[in-house]
Amino acid sequence: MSTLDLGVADQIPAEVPEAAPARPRLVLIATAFAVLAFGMFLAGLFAVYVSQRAAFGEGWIPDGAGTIPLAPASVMLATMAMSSITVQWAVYAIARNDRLNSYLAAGLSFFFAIAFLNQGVFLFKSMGWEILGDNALQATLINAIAGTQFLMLVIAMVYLAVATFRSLAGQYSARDHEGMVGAAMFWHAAVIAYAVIWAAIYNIK
Amino acid sequence: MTMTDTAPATGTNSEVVEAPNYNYGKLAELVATGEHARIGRFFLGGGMLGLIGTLTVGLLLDLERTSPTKVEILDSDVLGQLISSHRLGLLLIGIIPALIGLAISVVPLQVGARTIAFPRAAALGFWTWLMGTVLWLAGYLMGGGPGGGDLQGTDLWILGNIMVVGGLLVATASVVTTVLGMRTTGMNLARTPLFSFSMLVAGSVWFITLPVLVANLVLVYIDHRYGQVLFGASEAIYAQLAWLAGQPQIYAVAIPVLGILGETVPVFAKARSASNTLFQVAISAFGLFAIGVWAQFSMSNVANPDATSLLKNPIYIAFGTLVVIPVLLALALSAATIRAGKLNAKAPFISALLAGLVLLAATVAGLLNVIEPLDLAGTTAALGHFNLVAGAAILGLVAGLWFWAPKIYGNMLAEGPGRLLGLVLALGALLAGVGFVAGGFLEQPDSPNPGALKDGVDMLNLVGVVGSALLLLGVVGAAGAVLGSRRSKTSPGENPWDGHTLEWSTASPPVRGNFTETPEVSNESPLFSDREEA
Repeated sequence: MSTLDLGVADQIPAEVPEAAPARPRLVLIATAFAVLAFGMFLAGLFAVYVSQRAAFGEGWIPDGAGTIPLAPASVMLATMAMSSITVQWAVYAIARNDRLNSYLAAGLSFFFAIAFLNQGVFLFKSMGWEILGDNALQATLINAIAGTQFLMLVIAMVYLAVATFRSLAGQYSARDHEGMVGAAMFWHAAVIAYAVIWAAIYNIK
Repeated sequence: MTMTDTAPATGTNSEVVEAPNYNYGKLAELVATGEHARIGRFFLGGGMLGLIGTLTVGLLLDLERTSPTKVEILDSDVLGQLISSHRLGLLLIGIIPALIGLAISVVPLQVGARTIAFPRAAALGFWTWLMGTVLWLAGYLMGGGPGGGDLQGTDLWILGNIMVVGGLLVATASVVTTVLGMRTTGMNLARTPLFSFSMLVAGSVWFITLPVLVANLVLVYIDHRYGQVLFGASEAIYAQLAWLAGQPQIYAVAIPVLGILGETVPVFAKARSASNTLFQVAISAFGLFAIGVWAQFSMSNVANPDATSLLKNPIYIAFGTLVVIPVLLALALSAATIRAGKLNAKAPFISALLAGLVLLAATVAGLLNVIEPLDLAGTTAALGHFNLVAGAAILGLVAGLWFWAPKIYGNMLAEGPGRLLGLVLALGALLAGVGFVAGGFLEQPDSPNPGALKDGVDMLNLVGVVGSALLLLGVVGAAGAVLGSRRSKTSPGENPWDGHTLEWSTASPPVRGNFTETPEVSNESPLFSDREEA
């Protein structure tokens, strides 16, 4: 008899102990630690930014040409806020076995994220700062902070993509959709990170 | 089961089923393993090698200090680089990976889990750490460490550091998730074995602090690669990272020492822990006072970075003072446990107790460091403090190795050498610590080539050299004992120490899946309770 002729239960060897009861939350716990790590990473960058900003005094962000334009930065914030809603919609839908809406919401979230990254490129090009230019200090710090948030969002997109593909494969449902919740958690963290950057850097300057 | 494991051959219906051949070869099995015991041994082996390498560098630096007015042993160009390789390396390449290895091997057994959470992530953490270590070393060899002149080497060094910390964090995530999410039936957090609990606290502290180190490294990289407006060429890089090896952050590597102390003392005293809850409070408080990410003097005074500026920070003084209390509490609880029982002092107990005492000495030295009128900032008192904390962590690691060797390697480690190594390491840590703290009182600058010194400093530096040599000897001896034990063919049995916690209820080394039945617990010392009832 080949192994293909046997049922799954028949192929469980006798000497292997019974499976441990399913323990939920592992993915969520690990995601929480990942969020903590990125939060502290950004906090570390902000600490250097704030101390350098305080030591620099007036004129940290130049007025006129080369300043940070608030309008695109604010549109980016609105885009991120909308993506937060759609990603939560994806979780809400899968929690009710509404797969179609879950995929639609995940797709919209990707759309908003790509739009955000596109707007980010536009923002930095319009600022026209170069790390080797006159504003080297500010550019180094702001690029590092904004780049970290971009990285967070890209990781959140990959995470959501994996969770969505797993949903497509039938792994997530109303009974178990921990991966989708984890992806949403990381996504919200990326949104909050941008909100802090918008408030502390782009808005207050 | 890993993707390279061979599937078992028998079925529950007692019919023999031919297993599909999934053999991808030894190398694939090695790289893609999901066995937590094996990943733990990888980390332990790598960490021990890292300890030997970085302690050797420390010894060379201490030897150089014996001729303060001229550079005799080393090249003056590499002196600055070796300081960072000793201090950051001892933590990131030696102590932390070795402790993580111990935890990956032992924590799943202690909490009654069949494996570690995200075993492949843990394996990924190891290989990332290993590759990062290679790049880190290559950076130094190219002359790119902090203070070195090779720009590309510095880039490589920074990348290596980021990979090392990233790998450690991924592996730590596996450990803390195991403690939080995979505890067996009946094991609430209060009943979690103290070593596992201490790894939860240590892992959390590492998660709070090490990402900030990576943030600093990323900034250093961008600045170094482009404008060099923040940190200059490479002279100021170490100042930006030195907080990791300074007070209070350095205590973060010693948090598991308290867990190992709390775990071993009741077993060898043959008594219940005087108070598991209070011990957990002590570990948590110690962890709190070990969060030192905020104590970066380069940030507290950007215009004029100065180590003494921290001495005006009341939180810095409070942390440096209060950290003594949890260590005293842990030692007092250990003493109460010993009094309540009948002590049978074996090698793990001796090393663990000595680790606790050296840690107490370290916190006292740290307390002296934060007293501003003593004027110890910038002197070798910081190096002495570092040596004491690192020595305590190494002693704790050795205690843990001797204690859990049956579960990690399937063999007992030799008792006689174990006792001797504990004493050698403790003496080494104390000499390397006290010698340099005393040198700090004689205003010896924290540099291996400090120039003219006061009378008596030469002798103290010699004491420090002897201490560093003993530390190195102890670690080499421990590694030798582990290698020697692999030839032993005798099985130590399930519970050779009459241990109290779940890891001692399974075979040595553990069976596949760790336990034949899912264990249940109703208190923090389930095996001790079983024996009492019997």
